[in-house]
Amino acid sequence: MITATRRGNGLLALAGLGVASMPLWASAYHMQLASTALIASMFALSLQLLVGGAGLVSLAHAGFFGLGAYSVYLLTQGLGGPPSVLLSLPVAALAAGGAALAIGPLALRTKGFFFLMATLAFGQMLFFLFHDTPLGGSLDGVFIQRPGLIWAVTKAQRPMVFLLLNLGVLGAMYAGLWLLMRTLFGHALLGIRANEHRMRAMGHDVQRLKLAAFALAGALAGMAGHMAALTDAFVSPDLLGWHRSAEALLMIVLGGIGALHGPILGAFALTLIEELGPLITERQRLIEGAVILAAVLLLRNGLAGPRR
Amino acid sequence: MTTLLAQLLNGVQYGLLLFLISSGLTLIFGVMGVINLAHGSLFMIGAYLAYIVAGFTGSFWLAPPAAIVGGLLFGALLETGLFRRFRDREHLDQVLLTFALILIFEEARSILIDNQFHSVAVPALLDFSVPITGSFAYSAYRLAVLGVCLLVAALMVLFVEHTKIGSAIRAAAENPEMVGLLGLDARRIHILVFSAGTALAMLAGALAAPLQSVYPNMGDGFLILSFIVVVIGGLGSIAGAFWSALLVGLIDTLGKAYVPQLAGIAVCAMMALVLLVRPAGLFSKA
Amino acid sequence: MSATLEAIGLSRRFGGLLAVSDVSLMLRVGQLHAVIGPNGAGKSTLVNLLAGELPPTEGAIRLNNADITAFSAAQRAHAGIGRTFQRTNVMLAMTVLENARLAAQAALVPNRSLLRRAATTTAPIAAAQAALRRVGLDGVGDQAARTLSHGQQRALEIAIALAGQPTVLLLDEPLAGMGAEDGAPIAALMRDLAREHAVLLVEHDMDVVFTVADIVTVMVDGRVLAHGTPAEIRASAAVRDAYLGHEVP
Repeated sequence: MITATRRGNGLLALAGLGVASMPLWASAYHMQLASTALIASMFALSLQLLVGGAGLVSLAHAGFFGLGAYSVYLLTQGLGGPPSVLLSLPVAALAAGGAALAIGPLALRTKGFFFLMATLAFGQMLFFLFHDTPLGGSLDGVFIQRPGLIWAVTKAQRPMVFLLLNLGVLGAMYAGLWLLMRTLFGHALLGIRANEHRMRAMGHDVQRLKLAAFALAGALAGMAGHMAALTDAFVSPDLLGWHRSAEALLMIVLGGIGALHGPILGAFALTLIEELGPLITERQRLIEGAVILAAVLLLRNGLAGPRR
Repeated sequence: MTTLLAQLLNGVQYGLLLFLISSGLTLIFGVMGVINLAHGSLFMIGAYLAYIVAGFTGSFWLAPPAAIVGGLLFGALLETGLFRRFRDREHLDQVLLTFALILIFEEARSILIDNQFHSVAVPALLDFSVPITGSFAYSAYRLAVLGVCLLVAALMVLFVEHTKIGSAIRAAAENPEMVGLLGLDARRIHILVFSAGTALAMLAGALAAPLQSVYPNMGDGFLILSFIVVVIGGLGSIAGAFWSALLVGLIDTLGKAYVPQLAGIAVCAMMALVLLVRPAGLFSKA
Repeated sequence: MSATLEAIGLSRRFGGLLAVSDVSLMLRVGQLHAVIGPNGAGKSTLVNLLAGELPPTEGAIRLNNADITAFSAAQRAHAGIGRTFQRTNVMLAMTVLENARLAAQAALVPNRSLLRRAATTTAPIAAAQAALRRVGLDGVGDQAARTLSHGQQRALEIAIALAGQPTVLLLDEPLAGMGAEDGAPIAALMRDLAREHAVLLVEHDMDVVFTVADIVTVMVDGRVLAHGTPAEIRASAAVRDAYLGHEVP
């Protein structure tokens, strides 16, 4: 079950300070890299609500991430110009959360293996929506105009501003989930993960609890996708592919399924490995494959500590 | 009219190839409880094997038998070396481990062969068209694929319905504890099911090689579609996999021919509909 | 006293097997109603039908004269039917108190209040602590359920059912796998619980049943063979022939 430990929170606060101080000592390239890791952290953290929270392993999650990213593009198209971030961020969360709320009742009619397959198919459905139809602009992706921030940002300031912005969003997301897991709702999710059958027999409306978690996780993934679109000024159907969902699962397992801060550790570790990997071999897939084998077979507790 | 007929036949033939892949997938999960995301990669490996065999011998004819024999051996190797160990793992671990296999298989393909598109020639003997109606002729090779798939499906049904091991496999697909209760060696059944599933997926890849290009990640689309087939057909059901594979094959083919933008979505939407009406699968008893 | 839980002509078919066949019975508050019978008599299936785990093939279930046949297990729990499982079925990774607290939460907290902090929402905690005290587990509330002994886990089963604030208690072999020493306090507890609940007890141990039960129903092959007070059942020749054999003292 996921718990937010004092140690984990302390570790994250320290790491957060380290990242926040990057503008003082790091290059623009490294700040962009840190932004990539922060966005991956948001994405994996939103999935952790399902995996570590309710015990739901979903392969549709990249679909919600991509939907959040594309909502920026669609909003820009619809308005004839870039929206304010104060509009685009809630819209991204609502679009992705709404899609999850629509898909959830169907996918959650299945369990275990079938849930995996159903979420894989629904995730691909969202992928096809942007890959095959004119909705997504181009199947190779499109450059977008960034939503306007509250103040004007010069090109040179961008890496720093986006770094701090992403750090802030991730921090808010973590704090929100930390509080959520302490509520009666959070405890009920953990109960479902531990023994869904008994939770039903106790009288919990398991289906509804799971749907609430699914929709909320989808909305958070949409926010992560929005931040990716904002940071990169580029969206492509590739963002919605199921391989990305599998990668987020990898971040969770790598970081530790038993801890709320696990996915953040995992996302940073994987980003670092993918950055340094090419120094050893050009064959990225071998590196990722090896990381998975190591994470699942050797490092069973994840970087964050005990699994259960 | 004639194009519609051609598309219908294409759809049936595509559906039958899907059946070869998804019947293995449904049995492997039903009997062993293992989720294999790398099942689509086996299809890719079968197609590349056909490309190599055809290039080496100068003839396609040896490719399907090579895919079957190679698949049986490769499947036995995978089962004893890896999947046996995955059985007790949580779904999450199985997903990640088999995802790692996809990456490793694709990288191995890239190292051993290359990252190009390749074509495999239709065997000369079948490189003609069969007149079906006055104005419509259909590829003999496609008809042959259709026939081979039907033959394999019939053999499978005969085996599963009318042999002792077959009925054990059926019982195990419904309730894995049955194998032990029937006094059968579970390990042998697992090797058999996994090898057969691998051979079927690789055979499908070999048969498909002359129909489409052989290219990197070609198993990915088939993986998604065969997952949808299993959801629609219901777990561990050969008959369910057969009919739902035909249905998915037809919808995907007709969709790609007439509304290409919506083909992928249409198949997923059909699965959504099935989940809404019969969550245990269209062909389940429940 | 009004009837509490009533089964009317319940049947359940599994394929060709009729596991429960035309069973009618009535559970009343203040009574401990035992169901006995050999293995495969359909006792556990009956509990699962009453608890909403399985839909009946035929028949109806009424709670305080309202038809609840179509209710799911969760809905029945809300309506006041608590149950234990024959095989211990708890959240092993969670603490004993959290197990009972989640049961109390399902009964006491409406959906709109689910965003309250768990540690400071006192009603479910108090109800859980009361349930644990009742079964004698109040000393081990902070331990993980998996660290409990078998007997303690059986007691936790009952505490979880009690924490759900039931009026009807369905106890499926609560003494399974327990020795006489561990069983005695639980038997006393059941007697005690029957004062304010309608209790259905499925049990193998005849000595326990004849000591604690007010009414006994004997099931054989899914059917009700006999029904009566412990004394009547003990005296029944039919029961003796069909089931009890030499065990009757």
